[in-house]
Amino acid sequence: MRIVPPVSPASQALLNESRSHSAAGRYPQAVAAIERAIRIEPRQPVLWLELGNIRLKEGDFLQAESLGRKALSLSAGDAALSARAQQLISAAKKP
Amino acid sequence: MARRSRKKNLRQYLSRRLIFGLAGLAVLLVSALAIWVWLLDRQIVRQFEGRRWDLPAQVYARPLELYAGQRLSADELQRELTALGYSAATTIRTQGTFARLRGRIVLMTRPFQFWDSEQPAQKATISFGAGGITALSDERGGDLPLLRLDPPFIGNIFTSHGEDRIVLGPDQVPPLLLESLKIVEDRDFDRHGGISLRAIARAMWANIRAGGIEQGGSTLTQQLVRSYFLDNSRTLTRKLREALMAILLELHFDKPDLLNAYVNEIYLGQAGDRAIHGFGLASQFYFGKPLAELEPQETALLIAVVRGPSWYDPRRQPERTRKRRDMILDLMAEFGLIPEAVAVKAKQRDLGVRGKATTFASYNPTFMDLVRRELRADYREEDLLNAGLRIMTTLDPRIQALAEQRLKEGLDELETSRKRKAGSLDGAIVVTGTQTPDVVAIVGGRNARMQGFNRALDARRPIGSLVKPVVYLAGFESGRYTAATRVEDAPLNIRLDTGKIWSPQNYDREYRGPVPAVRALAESLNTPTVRIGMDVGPKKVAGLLRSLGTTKTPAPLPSLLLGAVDLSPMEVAQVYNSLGNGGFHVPLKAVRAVLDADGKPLERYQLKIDRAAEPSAVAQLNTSMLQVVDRGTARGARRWLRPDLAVAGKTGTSDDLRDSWFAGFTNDHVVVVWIGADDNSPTGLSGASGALPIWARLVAGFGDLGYEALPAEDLVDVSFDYATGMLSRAECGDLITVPLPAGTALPAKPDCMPESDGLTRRGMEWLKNLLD
Repeated sequence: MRIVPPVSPASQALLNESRSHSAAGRYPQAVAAIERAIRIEPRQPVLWLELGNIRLKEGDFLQAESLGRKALSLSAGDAALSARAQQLISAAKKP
Repeated sequence: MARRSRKKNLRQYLSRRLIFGLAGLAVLLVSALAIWVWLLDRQIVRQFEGRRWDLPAQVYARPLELYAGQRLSADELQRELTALGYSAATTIRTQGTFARLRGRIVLMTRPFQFWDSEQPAQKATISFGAGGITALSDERGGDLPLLRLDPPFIGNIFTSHGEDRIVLGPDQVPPLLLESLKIVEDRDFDRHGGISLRAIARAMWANIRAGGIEQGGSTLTQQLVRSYFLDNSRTLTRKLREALMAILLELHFDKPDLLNAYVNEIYLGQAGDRAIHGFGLASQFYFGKPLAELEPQETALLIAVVRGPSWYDPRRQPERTRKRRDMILDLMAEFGLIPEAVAVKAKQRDLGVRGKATTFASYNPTFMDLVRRELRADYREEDLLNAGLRIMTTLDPRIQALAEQRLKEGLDELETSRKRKAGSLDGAIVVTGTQTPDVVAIVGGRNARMQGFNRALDARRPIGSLVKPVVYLAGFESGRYTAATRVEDAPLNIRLDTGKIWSPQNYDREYRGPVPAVRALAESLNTPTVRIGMDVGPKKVAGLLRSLGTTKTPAPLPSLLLGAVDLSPMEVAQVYNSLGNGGFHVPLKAVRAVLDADGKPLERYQLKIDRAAEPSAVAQLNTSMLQVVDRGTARGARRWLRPDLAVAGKTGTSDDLRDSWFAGFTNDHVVVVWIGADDNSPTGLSGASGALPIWARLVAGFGDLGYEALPAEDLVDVSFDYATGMLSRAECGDLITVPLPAGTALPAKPDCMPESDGLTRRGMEWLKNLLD
């Protein structure tokens, strides 16, 4: 068992920014903020999951599934995160 | 009477003819002159209006992100700030300044229009500890989660005739510069109509009086005309044409327009084949900061250079230039543009010009070439040259400069130690992020400053053993092999489709019997690799290479298994980026976003990702590749690399030692180095003796974290004997730890059996705990 370390404060700030863009339907800005966070913390599955969920909302199911797989590969051992990644993958597979 | 009158008539007739003739000639001359003037008028107006809109795309490097936890020392931040042209100050009140205190740096950023938002100037305090940044706080002491510096300006995409400039609008030019310029170059500018008789007279007088202020008789308008036509001949017709054009310009356009054109047009220096035009770029070229941030002595220096960029070259002629600068400072004070005391103080300051070595350290034709190629897919060439686009890229200037330096030094050293002709070797380097699509540095040859053959993108060479990790990956994915599977190292014969027999041999012609796959990979043994590759099939390997990132599917021949495929360093970087990324393919990119001239976002190139290989097979492979450096062909790299820095990589050598490769990654960067000769002659270098030392010395300078394979759901860490692939005790085996598929059964080493039988998962975990 392994627990993925929590998101860093820098990434959390960008995650919050991304979510407020996302809630307002400004997906390109939401993506930009999350990609900025990924460059800071590329091994944090939460960020890849977030990007995948934005893609899902945008209707880009292929990207959503790939991002789910990427998040899954970074979540090994963390049951809760793995389950969330699996959820994203199955949601992307049957739109 | 009749006769007289006839005579008179004749005379009248003749004189009338003469008058008409003369009048006709005069009319002809006047119309010719008029046509000439009209032509000149058209030419100069067209030139002026055309140039006003000539806005080359401006290219920026990546912005540096500051946040708690960032592995960046105070020294490194200070270097970055200096490179950005931030000036050291005691109190931080203006943008682009910083103060270094004990364990802290206080700074105020410059405002910048990013793709996602306009970031205002911001004051912040950055605190440092042993591992890097520990905290960021804003002006009121509040916690700041992160802060983005304005990105370094790299240069412009300029036209082939080599002129480069940053175009400034009238409101971006400081009044001190404009007023001083008039005082020094053209005191009657606001009154004259293009030419100034007073200025000519004064210039003559000044020239007669030796020792007086040097004065040219040309008005700013005349200088502008001259610089449009790049003609410095001193013929009378040229002078006349120039004067006439200056008058015509003044008739068409008003003074502020002309002055602004002058500020953007005038030639102010030379960097290789780049001509530095305009004060905007000159300010970057000499001081590395925007024109608006110049201090009086810096403004005076630029005005000094106007008179003759090579005569008053502050880098080559510091004394002569300083004299003229000080004289201009005196004039500024005399005319009341600055207080006397400021001039006195300013004259005591050094020239403050950045050294040639750091000048545009980040300007690199190879990287620009890549940027141009990426943009060409979406933009017309003329838009890149004229539309004033702002291009945000992924370049890391520090790593770019380091890569250029390491390649050059490395090649010089190889040529000396191998007694080769100087300049007979060349090479290329590509550096990308490990989990990102960012191209952070690219070097296309030892003369990084010269535009020329871009080896990083265009030199396609056989990759030799760089292909082997992909062969083992195909093996692991098939489920028939693990890193511990014992494969026979012995000569073999393969019947090809052509009917011929292929007998691959090891590089050292020695054969070791059964060896685990990880050792065969680490020591780059050919015969076990071919055995695995023929078992899974060259077609599988070719397909895997394509999905990992080659631009074409290589021919699926048996010879592919030993690297008979021509790839560019960039393609190799794409393949190894996919490996470092855990089997996910993200197309490499140098351009992140494009903004238009007003800062409106046009395009952002988003991260695209697809799964190219089974992540758990890649985790097994990457851990195995650590052994290349720890025990295999790249052991020599430890001379330069920290003992605890885990790096995964592979050497590559083509037939007859023509190409020398090393490709590998840390947690933060993927780096590919290629060394060879342009005429494809043998270099006498293997991957380990040519590319590897350059690779290792480069990576040693990064300060990266070591590569850490990600745990995979279906893998379990197992320790076994490196030489035999058998379970053994530590005292009689050379134990390595590699994640293997759960349930993998390994034989035990005779005479060295671990106390547990080690075949069960419980046993393996016990062994792991013991080792931990």
